[in-house]
Amino acid sequence: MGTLAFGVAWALAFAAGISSLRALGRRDLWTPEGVGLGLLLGATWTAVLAAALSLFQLVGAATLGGALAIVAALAWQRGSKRAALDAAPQEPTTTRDWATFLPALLVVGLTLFQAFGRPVYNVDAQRRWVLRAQATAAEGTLVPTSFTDEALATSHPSYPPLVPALAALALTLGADRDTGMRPGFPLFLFALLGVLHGFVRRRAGPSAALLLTSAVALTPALGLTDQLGLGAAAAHADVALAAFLTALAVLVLEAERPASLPLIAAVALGAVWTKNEGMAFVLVMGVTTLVVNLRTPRGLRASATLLASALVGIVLWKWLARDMPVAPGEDYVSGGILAVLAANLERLPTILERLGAEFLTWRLWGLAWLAVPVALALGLARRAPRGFWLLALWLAAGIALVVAAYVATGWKDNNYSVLMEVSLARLIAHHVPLAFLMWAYLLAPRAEAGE
Amino acid sequence: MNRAPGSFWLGALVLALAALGASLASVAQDRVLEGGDVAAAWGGGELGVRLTRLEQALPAIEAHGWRRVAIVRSAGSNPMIGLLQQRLYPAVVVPIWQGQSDLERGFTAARKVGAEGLVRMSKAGQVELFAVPAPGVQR
Repeated sequence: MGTLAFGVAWALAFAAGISSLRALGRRDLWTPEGVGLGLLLGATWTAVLAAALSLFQLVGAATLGGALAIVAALAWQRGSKRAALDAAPQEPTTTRDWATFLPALLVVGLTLFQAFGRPVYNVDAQRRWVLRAQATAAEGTLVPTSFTDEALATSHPSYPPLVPALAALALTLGADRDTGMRPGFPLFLFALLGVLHGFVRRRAGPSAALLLTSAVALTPALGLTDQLGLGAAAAHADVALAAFLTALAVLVLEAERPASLPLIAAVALGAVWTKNEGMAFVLVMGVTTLVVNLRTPRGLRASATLLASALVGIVLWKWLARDMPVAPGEDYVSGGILAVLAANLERLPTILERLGAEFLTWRLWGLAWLAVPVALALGLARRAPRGFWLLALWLAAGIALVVAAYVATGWKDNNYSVLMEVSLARLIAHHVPLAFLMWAYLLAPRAEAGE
Repeated sequence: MNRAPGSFWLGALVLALAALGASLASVAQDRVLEGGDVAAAWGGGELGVRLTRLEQALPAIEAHGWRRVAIVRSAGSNPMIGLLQQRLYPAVVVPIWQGQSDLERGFTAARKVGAEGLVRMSKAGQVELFAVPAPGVQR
């Protein structure tokens, strides 16, 4: 059970997620995309329910697992009523969906193989995500009293709770704290790939879906590498955030699809509860989308939903985590961020130089970043549609936020260049799937690519 | 834009499968070479030896029943701090800078953070455990 408990935790979360998707009237439940969205919704449910139970210090196997089971049952029942009233047939799940997803599925399998039975070893995974999960499981709350100790400030107890909530559920179900944690993380890669596969298939057909999904899966930083805490098998929240941001981008770009607004709300909440970088990026994403979509009611509704959900999530977590200490030099909000940025602008050339070198590190990124200027040139030449440019804008905004974080940081007495060595790749990994999504527009037949 | 020709997709598929095969071989090789412990995951070597010794010392540290443990920082000691913090939970592990060459300074620093025990690696890479004495008490 020690290494399999995370599977049980995911099964409970997934049951809640996929049932919610059904209750919302989505008909593509059993495609790679449907399963991927089900996983992300399930993870969000786990965090939300764990936060509610934290008020009573009741996070545990029976309570959190039971709450997820109740959500699953109620949502499934609601979905059944809805299906009975709805005359439209279920969207067929074609074998082709899974056939073109197969290489990606194999990579997820490899990352599981890589993780299985191996201990958590990366320092950030040990000191932050897994340690917080251990404390949550022990004290029954996402904001454990033991973490109000200033000595644990560098374990970042004020970081968002989604990953520790899921890992804590696994621990309370009997997961081994050393070897039982990593096998839970590759499912975030599955979710990322599944959502991306669905979007590319609709835009550019099954062959392009096969190609792009395989390319993302085989990008070492997201999939198989074991360096710098990267890869799907590391017990970190970076691939998880990449999955949430990919799903959010797809949902906003396709706001005309069924149940988009509640899904945008849920996935935005999941993103801001995964990492602090998610909070910043989702807000920027919401504002840019709002500006671009000012004249389209549907786009406005999607942007407003995204922003409202993100803001509620941020305020709620900041309130819950109000007693959690923040490490010296790592308070990016209350220190007057604009003044800090302006004061440290001399760091910019060093940061950009290191960023450029990172983009060229093919053993982590393959051709992913090099393909971005090619995509932009092709997009210009072919007058790519608005969705393509929105993705390009989000990608640029994401990278700009990463740069801003290094300009602002006071980590270990302003040692930002060392911080870049240990974290830059993880931060840009959040945004690299957007670069692949841009290619979906370029590989689409022209008539279908237009909006 | 016209749809890409079939040969393009076939070529792309062959490339994707080749990359997948290479990845499979790489992961399989890693697993055979690395095994399943923390030291191996960090690539073995001198750091691996130190981590193995620290891992072996965990039961002894736990046996002391310290609720708060100081660990002496040194260059490259982050993996050891991470290992101790995660494995010793619910004990709180606090890194301190003093104590590598002067144990008394280490005790003073450990007392400041309220630690009952002090862990450090000797220059020879051995794990050393000390109960932190009350102020003024000679060891």
